[in-house]
Amino acid sequence: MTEPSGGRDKPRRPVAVPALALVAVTVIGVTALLGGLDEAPDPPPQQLGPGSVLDQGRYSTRFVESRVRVEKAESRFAEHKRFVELVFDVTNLGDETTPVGLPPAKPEHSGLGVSFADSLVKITPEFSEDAGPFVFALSKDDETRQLHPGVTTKVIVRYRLEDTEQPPEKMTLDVAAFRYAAGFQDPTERWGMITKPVGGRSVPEVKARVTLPVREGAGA
Amino acid sequence: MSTSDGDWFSPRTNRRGGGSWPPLTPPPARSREPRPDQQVWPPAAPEAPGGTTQPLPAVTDATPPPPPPGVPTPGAPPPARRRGRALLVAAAAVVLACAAVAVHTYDGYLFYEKIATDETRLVSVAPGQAGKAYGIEWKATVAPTRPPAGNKHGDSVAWLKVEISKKVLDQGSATMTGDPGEVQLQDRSGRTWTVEFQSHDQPTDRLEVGREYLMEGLAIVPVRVVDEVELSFRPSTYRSDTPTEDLFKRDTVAALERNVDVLRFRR
Amino acid sequence: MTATEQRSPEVPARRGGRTGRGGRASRLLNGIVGLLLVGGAIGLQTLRLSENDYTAPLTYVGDKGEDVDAGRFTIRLNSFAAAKAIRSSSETIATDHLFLVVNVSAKSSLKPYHLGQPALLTGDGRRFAATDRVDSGSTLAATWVQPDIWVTGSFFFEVPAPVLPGARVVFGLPPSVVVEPYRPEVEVDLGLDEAAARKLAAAPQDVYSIVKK
Repeated sequence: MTEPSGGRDKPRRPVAVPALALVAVTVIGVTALLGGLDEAPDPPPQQLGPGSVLDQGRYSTRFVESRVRVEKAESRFAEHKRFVELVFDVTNLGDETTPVGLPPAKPEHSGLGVSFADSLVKITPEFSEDAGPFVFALSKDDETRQLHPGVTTKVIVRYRLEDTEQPPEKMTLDVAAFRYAAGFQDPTERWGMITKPVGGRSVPEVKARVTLPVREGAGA
Repeated sequence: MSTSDGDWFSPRTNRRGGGSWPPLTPPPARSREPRPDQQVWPPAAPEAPGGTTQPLPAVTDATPPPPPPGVPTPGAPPPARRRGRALLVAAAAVVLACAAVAVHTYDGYLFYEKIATDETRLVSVAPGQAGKAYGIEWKATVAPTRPPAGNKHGDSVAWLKVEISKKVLDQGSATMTGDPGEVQLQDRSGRTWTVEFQSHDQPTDRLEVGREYLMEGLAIVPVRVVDEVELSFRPSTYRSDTPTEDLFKRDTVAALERNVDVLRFRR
Repeated sequence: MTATEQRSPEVPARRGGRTGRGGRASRLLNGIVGLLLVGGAIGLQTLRLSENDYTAPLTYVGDKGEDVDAGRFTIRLNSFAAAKAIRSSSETIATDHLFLVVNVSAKSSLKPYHLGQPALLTGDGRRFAATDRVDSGSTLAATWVQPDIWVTGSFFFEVPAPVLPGARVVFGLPPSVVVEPYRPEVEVDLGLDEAAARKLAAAPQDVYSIVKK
């Protein structure tokens, strides 16, 4: 409670704290007046070519090549099918089997995926909707849709070419990465794509831009 | 204290000096002797300037004055009483913890019930009789049958042939072509076995009024319950003239008749 | 002042009850008790389940050949085998790794269920899903698991040989639309130590056939 007045020496007047507060307020005010702080600009995505390896957090991915592949007709009445293929060697660095996934069909869905092919957030040039993409993994030349943990699996993403359609000269991929963390609303920890907010939406951060020249003449 | 509680008109010093805090002693127990009288009126005199505002006198001596004889020290109840209270608090804590867990569990169960079970109105059908739901008459038979050749089950399993026939009674129900759901056999203790259907001969868009359509199915149950299992199912209220693209719209689903009836054929 | 003065004989008495028996010792004791309580609270914090553990299913653990009752269903892992290829009615599939075929019996308690595809947990905590290269119609997941009726079938994994030591197989119900906490699952230890795993991996069957005769 209160001390008897007129006691011993006068208490020292606190000076440091108000002075510091004043300085801080002034600094914040001036900063705000000058337009506030801004995030440092993101480093530009790495530019990668054929054979390069990217650590995507959940996967370690080697971008092997892009090629045109012709599947011979199985009967006389069927036609040859031609595909532009993207070939990856994907090692699942996580603890569990994951599906191969599918590249996002619409840009607004691009930040939601959690599997390998979801991270191919933009593939140029674009193909028509009927052309694909078809995504599968190869295990001993047989199709699977699973990537087992610690195992390196060949993954194929491909688009079908029309009869007379010329394959593009090169394919360019914007590749995002994953991180294991708690969700925005859900405290359960899980893998999710690394995103950044752009105009009120979360958009995947492009970690690497991969350019693969399309190699023709690979038969089947 | 009592002077200052309601006395807002006294000089300020007085209110402070009178001690604005109630005594920290616990309320006297009934068995104890009455406490000595206290001066409540006239109010305490204003404090002398320079005096302390502390309501408690400073402890100047290590040995406090002995308590007056006959007055037990308040705040230090006998050890037995203190232990009793501790036990009471501990018991209350345990009871409250249990109650909290129980309430949480019960709430979760109610939620599960609401989500996992459909609303059901059980319609009991006497042996040999037909059951009616939504303008359609249903008959059913359950009969033992020979196990198919090459099945993997042994003698502990009985094979049953299940026949369900469906007859539309009025025009309004002729488009109810949906197959019944939750077709199952239930024993007296409530365990259920599924029925798998092989064939049925009915048009997909409109049923003929008055004609019987037959569904045939097979089921397996343990031999022990073969004579007690009863067939039950939930007739569908789906109408074949509902546009397919409307099936996933909320108001279409809400407009559909809710299929709450479950027919149970007694044996 | 007067009111308190009147009370003065009591108040010191109460305080005296505590300070009388050596105030320093009891204060020290209080401090120690306080520290212990704080330490205990911090210790308990570390035991707190993470959100992932908190939402995990309830696991019933057992050994090979044992009936493991998970409440809704009971599982018995009868045997397992390694193979280099699996022949089905349509094709024969091969692998660079190993196919692990587990033979399982199951029954349920109250209702019919279908089992979900199991997972193989490795000694270091990795989780391999059952392979999708064998059609799930050929696995026990396609069979109704019903009260009091044992059914037997197989599940298939495609795993690298080094993950076999300490491996366990986890069975459960298929994923459901309704999110339900504490779903039951059964975890069966294959009982493979280093030597047994090496032996199993060294002599796989050439072809494991699932063709129905």
